Amino acid sequence: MSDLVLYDDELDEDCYRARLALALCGVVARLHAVDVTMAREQDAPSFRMLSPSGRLPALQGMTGTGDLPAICGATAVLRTVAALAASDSGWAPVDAGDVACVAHWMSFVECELAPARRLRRLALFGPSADDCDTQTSTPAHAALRVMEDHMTLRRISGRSWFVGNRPTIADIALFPSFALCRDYGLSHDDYPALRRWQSCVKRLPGFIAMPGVPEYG
Amino acid sequence: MTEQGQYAPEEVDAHGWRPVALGLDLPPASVTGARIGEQRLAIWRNSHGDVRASDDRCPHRGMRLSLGFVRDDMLACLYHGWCFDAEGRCRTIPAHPGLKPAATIRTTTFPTIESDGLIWCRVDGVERPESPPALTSPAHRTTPVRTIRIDAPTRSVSRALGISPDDRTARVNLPLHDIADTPDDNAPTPSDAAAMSAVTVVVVQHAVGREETRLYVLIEGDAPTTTIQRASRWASSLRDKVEREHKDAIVVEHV
Ligand code: FES
Repeated sequence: MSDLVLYDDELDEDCYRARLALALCGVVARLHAVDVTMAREQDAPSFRMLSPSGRLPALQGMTGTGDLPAICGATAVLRTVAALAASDSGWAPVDAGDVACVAHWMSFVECELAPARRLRRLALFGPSADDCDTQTSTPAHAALRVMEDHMTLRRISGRSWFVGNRPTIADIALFPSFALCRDYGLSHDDYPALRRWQSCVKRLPGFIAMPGVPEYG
Repeated sequence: MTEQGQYAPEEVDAHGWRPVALGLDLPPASVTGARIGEQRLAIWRNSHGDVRASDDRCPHRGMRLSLGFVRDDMLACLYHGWCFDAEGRCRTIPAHPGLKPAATIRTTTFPTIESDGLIWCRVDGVERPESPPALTSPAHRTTPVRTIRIDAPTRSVSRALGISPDDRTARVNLPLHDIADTPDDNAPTPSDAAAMSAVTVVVVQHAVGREETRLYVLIEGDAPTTTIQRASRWASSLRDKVEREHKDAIVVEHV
């Protein structure tokens, strides 16, 4: 019997990545809300025992085969969830070329899309200590444009997903950055290829929304 | 006076048919936003393929209808779900399911035409307008490539395409033998032999704002996937080149 707990903040983009991965991959986990506002529970000693840098999301518990130590951060949680999903589900490809492409896009989410995440946090929750320089939407726009160029070529060759022939964790990792871009002032209008991909993601069985990501469209 | 100021009136000219989307970028039962001059639009398609254009403003609380969705062949507002039909009339108010909304609750709609793979709209109120400009001879069909946004004024894009800023459509000969995907490819290739290994790319420009141009890229006639991809890459490098030059020009202007 597996018994997993996801330490979660509903409005956090990375936590949404983790919830979406659980939902789409069909892996069950209980949600434990971490209050990052007034209570600053991410800094509480009990949470730091799990996630030493206070990072969300964090996944921990029992899998069917044994203990799962605390896994922190969206990328790590996504890879873990894909590994826990039914082995034939294909969320994490095994073909070497596809593995490489997924790795490429996962790294894109961590680096190129980091300004987009900062921008959204700033727009919704105001500045925090680590936002020292002025934020502009230019790097976020540039990153979405790279995604749009890629998905335009994919659309032309009749493909619907970022990598290979089926959705992978790369799609899950990339999805919130586009779906939530209105939160930080970018419109979907300039990204028709990403809009098309977005509606494919929304039609996947198990898809879940979050505040700022409507269920339809 | 800056160059921007000088050219501004042309760029917000909202008269006549304007391209608002590539047909393929608006699948059945979907909506997107567009802009003609100061007029913001919600462009939507019902499940039968018909395209409509409405003022991008919900009469309830003024939210943007282009953020909404298409449901039951009506445009639904994301915020409280009011639904508007093809004529812009509000038909359903989810908070009051039994109520038949008054005929006065409506959005302004605008005429649209879909031709040559493009969706055109006009907001100038001209009754019985002539058709949008034909992009190719009737013998040819067009193959849509993509929509691309360029963060530069239309005059910068026109210059790179080698057309006058008043010409909204450019025809570019894109050689197929050359592997390098540089925008310099648009140098004309007059000989017949070259023309045989080239494809004609039709580029339709639309000034979204002073510093923002949208291009609709199509190919004249049928084209295989590799050619369409090549045209898409060509458009990306054109965009990058125009934006680089525009940025450099701004720097020079301020030195
Ligand atoms: S603002 Fe559109 S339904 Fe309320």
